[in-house]
Amino acid sequence: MSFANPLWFFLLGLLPVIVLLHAIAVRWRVTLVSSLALWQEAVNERAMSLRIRRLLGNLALLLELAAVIALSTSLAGPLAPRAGGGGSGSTILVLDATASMQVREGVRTRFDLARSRALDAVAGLRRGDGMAIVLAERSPRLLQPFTVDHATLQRVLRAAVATDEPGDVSDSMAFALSLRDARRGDQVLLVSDGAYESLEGVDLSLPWIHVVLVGSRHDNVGITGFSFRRTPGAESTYEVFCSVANIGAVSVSVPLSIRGEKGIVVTRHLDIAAGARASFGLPWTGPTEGRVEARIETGDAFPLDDAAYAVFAPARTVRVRLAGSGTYFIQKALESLPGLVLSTDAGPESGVEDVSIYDAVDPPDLEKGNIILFASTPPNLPLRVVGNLAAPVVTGWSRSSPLLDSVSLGGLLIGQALSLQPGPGFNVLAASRESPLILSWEQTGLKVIIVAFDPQKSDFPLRPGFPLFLANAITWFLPSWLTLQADQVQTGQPRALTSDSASSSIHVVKPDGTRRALAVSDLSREFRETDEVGFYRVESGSSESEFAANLTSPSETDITPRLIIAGPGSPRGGVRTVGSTVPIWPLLAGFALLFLLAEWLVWAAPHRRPRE
Amino acid sequence: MMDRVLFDRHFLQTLDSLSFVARRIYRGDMRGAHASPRRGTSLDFADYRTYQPGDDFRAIDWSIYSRLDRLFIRQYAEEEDLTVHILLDTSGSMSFGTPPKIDYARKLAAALGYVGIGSLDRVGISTFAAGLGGALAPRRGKGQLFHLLDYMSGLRAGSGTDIARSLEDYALRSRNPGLAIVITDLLGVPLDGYRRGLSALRFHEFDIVLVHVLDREEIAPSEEGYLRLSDIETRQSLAIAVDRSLLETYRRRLAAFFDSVESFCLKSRIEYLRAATIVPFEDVVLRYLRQGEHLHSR
Repeated sequence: MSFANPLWFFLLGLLPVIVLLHAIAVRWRVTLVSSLALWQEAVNERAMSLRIRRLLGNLALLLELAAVIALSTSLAGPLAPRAGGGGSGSTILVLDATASMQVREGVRTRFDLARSRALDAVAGLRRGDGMAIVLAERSPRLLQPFTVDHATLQRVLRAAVATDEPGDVSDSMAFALSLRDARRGDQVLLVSDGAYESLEGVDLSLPWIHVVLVGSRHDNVGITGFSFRRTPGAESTYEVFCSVANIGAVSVSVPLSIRGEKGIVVTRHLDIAAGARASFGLPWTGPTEGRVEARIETGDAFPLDDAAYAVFAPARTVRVRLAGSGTYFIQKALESLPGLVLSTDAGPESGVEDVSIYDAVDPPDLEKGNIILFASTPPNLPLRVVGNLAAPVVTGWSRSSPLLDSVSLGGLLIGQALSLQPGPGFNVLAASRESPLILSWEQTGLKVIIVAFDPQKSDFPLRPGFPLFLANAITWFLPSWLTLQADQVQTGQPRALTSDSASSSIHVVKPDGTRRALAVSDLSREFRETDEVGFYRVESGSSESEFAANLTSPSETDITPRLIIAGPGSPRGGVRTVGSTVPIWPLLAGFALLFLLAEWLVWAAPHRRPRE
Repeated sequence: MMDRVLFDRHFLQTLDSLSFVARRIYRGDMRGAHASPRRGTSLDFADYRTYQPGDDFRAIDWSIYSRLDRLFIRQYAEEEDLTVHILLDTSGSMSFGTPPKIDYARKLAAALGYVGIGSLDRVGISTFAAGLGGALAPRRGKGQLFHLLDYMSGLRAGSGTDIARSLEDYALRSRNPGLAIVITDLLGVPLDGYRRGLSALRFHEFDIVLVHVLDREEIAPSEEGYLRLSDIETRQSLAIAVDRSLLETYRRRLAAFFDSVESFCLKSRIEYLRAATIVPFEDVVLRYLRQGEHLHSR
């Protein structure tokens, strides 16, 4: 037996009130007796039972008490186990650990409550029943594979913590369902705050899916956006952009401050209507280096989104060396991009360039650096030119590649292109039926983009995608270029790390002070443990840099439990299981009505019957 | 004022035929109808004794002398009067009931007094409650009957009850023990206080008849519900929810009380009669008391 909304049990507080009212309302009849002695003896003999019988003898009172008990229990949404629905086999527990689970519910957080429920579920397992635990973070994490060791499950659950990451519980549920063995009769148990509209792709009416909701409704004001950008048309001025959402039923006035390392730069009072969002952009007059922190003072139950961070890194100037004869279009496209210093010196690389572009000229051996090759190939890479192609047609390109982001190659006219045979390690970004047309190569200290045709022998430079392609390439080479003046990521997102030195490892110091080491040889060089809001310090050899991780998620800032589950009452703040339970509130509501009817009859009887 | 025409003619005629009989033989003051320890001149042979010089020759039994050749004197029993003490409880609890128990008790006392006076006995009445109340000294003669009725007409029930002290005091003060008729409801505090009082009478050579007067509501209370019971004597109250179960407990307690009284009286050779006010008092006198040892037809 469980209850969808046990808060309704507060109605049971009426019981002593009713008893008190009856005790007050009793009309005592004064009766003369010759002596109290015998009565006193009789009362002493039955002292205990008399007090109870005095009340029990009052049928109306009993009926009223029964009606209140039945009514409160009915409103609490009792759910009885469905016959035969107890299930066997193992359980896959999905424990919501997204940021909204850090909302305070009194002295405990939603995650604490959820963990208690999960521990209850473990305690309810029969001997031999197995359980796996999936932690719903930004992406699902298998915290504990199937085990029948209940002590291990309890230990793992006690050690689990909620993250600062936004997340979609649907993904974790999908992952849990993929682990389910239907023949074994596995059950899936989700313990969550339900602070989302629905579980996409999950049918909660299935008998083997159980949902336990924790948490209650709270108003919340949080920062949902915080970023910097270079002022359009200006090289050295910046704008700050901030967005604050009010997820509440009343309008609020929230003080906002943005401070740099040397003090407060911006203070504002934001008046935000209920359910609305206030956004503003201002010229940034603060320092253009170091940490920046935005904070609102709310005192609400979810402090995680009351602050946002950024590490202000001014856009760096990118030195581009262009080699080749017919580079007019490339030069013009590069000149349209901000922050570039272009040189057209021919000859070998001087080593100070950030990016080198070779247009139809053979490059030297490539050891390190960022290189773009048009209609040429590097001599030291496993790429063989097998001929020339006349008027190749682009048959496909990788739309998900950051190099071709917003770049369309459809209908591209190419007069002539090299026919290439790439070896292992090359990533083909675009290709014709006969040969790859755009490829990338990445190794430690070396990034190469190879375009198999000369832009002048195609209409590529005449397309809007051409300067975007070059901008994407420079961004791929130098991620801090152009768009990342304020170095920040959302919690849970991987952060690409770059190492300009020959250091063999990179260390990251998390906001809580813990250190993580990454091998430079790791091709991905992505730091994925951005599960905390705050500043991260990256140490690579003698160089240090910082970046910030923020929640800034409108969906997580909306901490209102709103997952709708069909059934009696609201599941807010309580525990609700579905699937293997049957609601019995109509039965209890019927009993309550019957009790009230009977009470009325008892009350009305003496009024209809003349007293003797 | 109590109606002097208490009894109808037929009842009085029946009372005239009754007289008290004591288990013990008491020394009376005057000649009467009851056996006396003295030897007297009645026709009832009592004993022989050896002739002593000076004895009346007329008392010598000559037939024995002819057979035994010794002189013996025939002795005859003396008949003297009996003192009847009527002790009437006038405590507040006696005003309870319909009719009030005190009225019933007064009629009973009057009837018994009439019997005593008609038997040439000396009849006195004394009331008691928290202590001894007024008293009408034991006298004989028809005139005493009117004194008796006048006295009882002024009686009112009212104060508390201390049976033990009252009867002890009476036993100590009384010079002529005789038949003590105690008419009471025995409802005092403590409930077993009657034992001390009756024992005191017994120790002072009283022959005792205990008439226990009770009202129907005391024997079988019928009211249920939320009752604030008020003690008619002490005015103390007790608020209880009375249901059948509690009534049953009360009846059980009352039965135990009756048993203890009966047991005590049996051991103490006290005649005990329980009289409910719903029973006509004439029946109590003519049927139930007559079945006892102390009221006989002449």
